[in-house]
Amino acid sequence: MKVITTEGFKLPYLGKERYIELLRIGVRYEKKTRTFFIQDISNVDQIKKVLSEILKDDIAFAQKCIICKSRFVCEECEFTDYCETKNIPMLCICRACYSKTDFAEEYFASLKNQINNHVVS
Amino acid sequence: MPDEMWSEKYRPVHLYQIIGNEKAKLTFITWLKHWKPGSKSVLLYGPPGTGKTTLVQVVSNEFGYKLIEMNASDVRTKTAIMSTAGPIARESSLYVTLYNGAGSILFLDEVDGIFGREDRGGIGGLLKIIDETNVPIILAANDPWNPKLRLLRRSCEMIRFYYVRPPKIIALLKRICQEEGVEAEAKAFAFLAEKSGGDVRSAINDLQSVIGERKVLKVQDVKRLGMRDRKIDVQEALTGIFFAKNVKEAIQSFNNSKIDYEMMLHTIHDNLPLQYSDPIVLASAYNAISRADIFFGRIARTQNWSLLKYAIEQMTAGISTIKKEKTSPVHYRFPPSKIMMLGRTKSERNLRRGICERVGVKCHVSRKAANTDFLPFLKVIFNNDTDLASEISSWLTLDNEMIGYLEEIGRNN
Repeated sequence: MKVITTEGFKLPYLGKERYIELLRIGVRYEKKTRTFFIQDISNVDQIKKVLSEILKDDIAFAQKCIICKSRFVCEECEFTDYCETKNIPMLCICRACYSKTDFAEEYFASLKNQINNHVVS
Repeated sequence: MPDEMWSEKYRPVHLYQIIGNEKAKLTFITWLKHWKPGSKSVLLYGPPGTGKTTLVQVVSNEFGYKLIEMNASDVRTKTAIMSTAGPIARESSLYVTLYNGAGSILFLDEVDGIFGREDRGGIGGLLKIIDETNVPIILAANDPWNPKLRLLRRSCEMIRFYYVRPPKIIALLKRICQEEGVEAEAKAFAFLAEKSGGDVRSAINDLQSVIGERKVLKVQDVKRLGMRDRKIDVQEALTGIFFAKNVKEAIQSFNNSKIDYEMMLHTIHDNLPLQYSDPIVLASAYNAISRADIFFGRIARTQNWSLLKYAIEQMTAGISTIKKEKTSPVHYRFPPSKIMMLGRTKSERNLRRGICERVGVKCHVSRKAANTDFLPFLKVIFNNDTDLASEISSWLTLDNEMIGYLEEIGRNN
């Protein structure tokens, strides 16, 4: 299984048609760093299918912990069986942070920081 | 039992209190910050209880906007929308300067509900206002993929809201329990989060209903609630059907969907080649669909509705249990091509029916006979003999549209 991070991943040579297909479904290419990144997750199922075909392997999108900023995959999470947004690249709470007793406070503090940084910028 | 609903009592006041959909929130704030007359409006879409309405209310409060809301309970005909939203949309920058605020925001909630006789022309009115507006317009919908919202989708930036993830719901429930002075077991929170299916509002309502006068919440208290059957959209329903592990799961996915069985049959039929590439699997799937279709035919003929369960089993479990290849969900096509084709040709069919009706009255034949025996000759006459055509059209009292139609199909033939 290949783990894809939304902010940057490398792909083998695609050819023109595959490249256009990726652009259409919300994947962008940054020439400077020669990496692809997922700009729009509305078509996440399609992105997963196309990437899986390109890489000839199953795809899992890395989740980012909003508290500690670490990366993890949904399979590591204890809620994976009934999570409605499983394997959609999103901000979440990792197992380590969730197991802390004060994770709720930390989560709301992270949200506050995120909003403040965004509004100021 | 406390009087006030907790979903209202703990409704977020600040942006950081809204849980989940962090990226959508930031995209929305960016859109609002950079909005100027001529920019696109925004359409927030996603399942209920994910914070669309709350986000708009909180943002308008935090950024000093005056929020004008129109929701499903208001009459939303073209006239009503133009008279309420029109003056706000034309609000000038002078007003903003004079009243020392950020201006107004126009918010139309549940736009996917603007249909039917009572909301006649509502979408058209809305499009006109979006074109001419001087203030940001925000629309919200649960299901924006209705064909009637096609033009609206084009004129809006779309921001998708997803169900909120369990750990975030648990964080919120934990905070509410702290505020209420209730001690709760971690597993009780987890059960409530699971039961909510990502709907924050229902999680809070469930928490309130199980706590009541309790000061300690145990897992056995919440287990009495049972699981909620949530209505799911077409993408989820099809994923559920195609990837069901057993017959029961496939049928459950269909039962939980908002789509009727006929529409579902056409939708599955359209999406089979997208999902299955192995020709043998595909053939078996089409076979199951055709058996379902036979049952629907028998139901229509005999009105024996007890056959419905077999039809549903064939079109859901029949297509999910045959797969051998490893596949992953795709973006499913909806609405079905047959329904779209009928929609496209509706006006043409109406015109044809109108002509046949008039021929039928004058010539004492059925509409069907008029269509097969008269219409082909009329097409030829209307394209070759203008004098005779004008005589016939006045005798049949055909209007200009009907005459134009006969001339056009004659030319195309």
